Amino acid sequence: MVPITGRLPVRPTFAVLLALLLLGALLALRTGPMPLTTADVWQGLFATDAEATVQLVVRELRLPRLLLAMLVGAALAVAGALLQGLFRNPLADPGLIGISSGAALGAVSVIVLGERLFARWDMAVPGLALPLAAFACALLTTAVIWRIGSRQGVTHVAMLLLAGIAINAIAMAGVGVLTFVADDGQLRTLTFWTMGSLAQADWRDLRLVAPWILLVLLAMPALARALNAVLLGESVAMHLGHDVDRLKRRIVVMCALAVGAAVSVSGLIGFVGLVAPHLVRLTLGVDHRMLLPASALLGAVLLVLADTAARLIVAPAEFPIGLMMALIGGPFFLALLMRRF
Amino acid sequence: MNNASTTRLPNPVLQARDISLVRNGQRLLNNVSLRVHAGERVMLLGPNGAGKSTLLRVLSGEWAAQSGDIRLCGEPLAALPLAVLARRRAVMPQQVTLSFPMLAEEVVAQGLPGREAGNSAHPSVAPQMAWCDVGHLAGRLYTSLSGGEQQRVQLARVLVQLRAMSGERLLLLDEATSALDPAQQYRLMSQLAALAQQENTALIMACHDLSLAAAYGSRILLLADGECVADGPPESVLTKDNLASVYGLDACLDTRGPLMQVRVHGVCPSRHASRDASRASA
Repeated sequence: MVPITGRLPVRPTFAVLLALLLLGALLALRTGPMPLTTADVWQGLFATDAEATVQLVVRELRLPRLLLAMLVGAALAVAGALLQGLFRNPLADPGLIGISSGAALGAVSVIVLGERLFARWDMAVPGLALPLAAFACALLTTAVIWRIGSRQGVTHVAMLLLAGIAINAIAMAGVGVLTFVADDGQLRTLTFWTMGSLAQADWRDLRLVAPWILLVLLAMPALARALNAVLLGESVAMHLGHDVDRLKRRIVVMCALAVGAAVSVSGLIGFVGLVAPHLVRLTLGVDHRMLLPASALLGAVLLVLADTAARLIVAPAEFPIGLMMALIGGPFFLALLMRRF
Repeated sequence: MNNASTTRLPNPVLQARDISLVRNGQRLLNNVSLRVHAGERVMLLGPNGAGKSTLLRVLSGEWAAQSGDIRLCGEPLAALPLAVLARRRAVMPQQVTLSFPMLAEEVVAQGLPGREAGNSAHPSVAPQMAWCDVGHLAGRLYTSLSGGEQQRVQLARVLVQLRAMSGERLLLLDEATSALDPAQQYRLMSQLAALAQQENTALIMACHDLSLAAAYGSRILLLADGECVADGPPESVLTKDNLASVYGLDACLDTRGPLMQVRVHGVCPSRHASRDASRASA
């Protein structure tokens, strides 16, 4: 078990996280093929008479991308924290137990088959179909995993992880089949998408997913107390007056919403949901009233920084952010396992 | 509910009639009835698998009985919302394991009602921890505590919940003292017995320690194979015959000292034979 009992004071930690987020945001807005100074960024954001290119780069390219990175990071981190609380296991993660890959299968289906399926409808439909498919598949996989992993109100973590492995494999096989039948154009979209990328981010993406993710972020504080009680076991939570079944249903829907929305615009980005809540537990403790918002903030910070680094390390090309998180998160996960067992 | 017994005062905190439960094709409880008043200390006794924990689960509202009628403070248990239930009865399960690094005082503070839940600075947390002799462990990680310490921390949590209630309440304990050393066991049991008498509380506790049950129970409910074998004061339940037929123990109740205790002379040689015979005749 994690031997750390020393905890940081709550308010300063939140202040530091906020400061990091602001700094990360500034860095993200300055960084790119066209480097900008802080003054440029300020002008591009707020001045009406700013240079047209600066305005375009800041407002139309980097700002939506920054906001999307924040939302996706927060969504994935919160989904991880919620699932870990519900499963009473610090190793639960939307990527690990197959929710993300389920969503990915839905999204890839739309990328590859969308044109054929939606040819008759308006152009707007495929745009909406992708997040909808991602969400529906995320919901479906979560429900399947839940059913397999819990019997008579007891969640078997081993079953859960094994089911996750199987579902990951099935979903990835599905993605493989679709990759096989995809044409060149689709293949390129698909590849970037399965490696995770925010490069295509624009205001339309943001408008599409922001409401769902914000909904989850606004709804999550209401679950904090019940989740705290669930840490002592489902029956104890019930004895303390919490409706655990209702909590489970809410968390399943919220995770599917958050992960489905995040995956539909950013592709597969793993480990945020594992790393952010774990770091918060080490520093602030396990109380979900602090854990959930702090994880959201830290997830946003992590993804903003990762996305900025992704633009820097192989400039002028971009490194896929999903790969980046896997490269950082994978070893972190291994370290976590070694400390725990 | 218009039988003659309801006219008796005071009304029972808990009244269960003819509860039966079948799960996975197994009959776990068969027509068990009991009524418990505030101040009573009912000890549930019976061999492993007799249905003690199952009965507690049903009485706590966690599992629904297939048939029978359970009333808590006069109201049907099944109709009470969970939040209301949590203000009338507190439950301590056999074991609570944690997979996250939670402090002992945070665990205890989970027992606080409503918005206070989790507030380890609440004025009720420290006194209840001290009552259970775990005040010095407040800042320790729950997972780093010994089994007995964890059990006392859980009891403190249950007491925090119980003592926030007003009016008559029910306290259900499932082997609450099983991991404690004998001194702690007897100390906590005498405290709990006093609590039940002085604080409007009906106490029902599943237990494996016959002497502890005899010493502190005002009543013993003896279960075997999901059925109630005997219900009454220790002297009338813990008879040589009952102990032999239910436990297969050659034992008797010793009432000489200040605390009654069960003196075990040995194991009946034909335990399984006698149980099978009694089952066949039934």
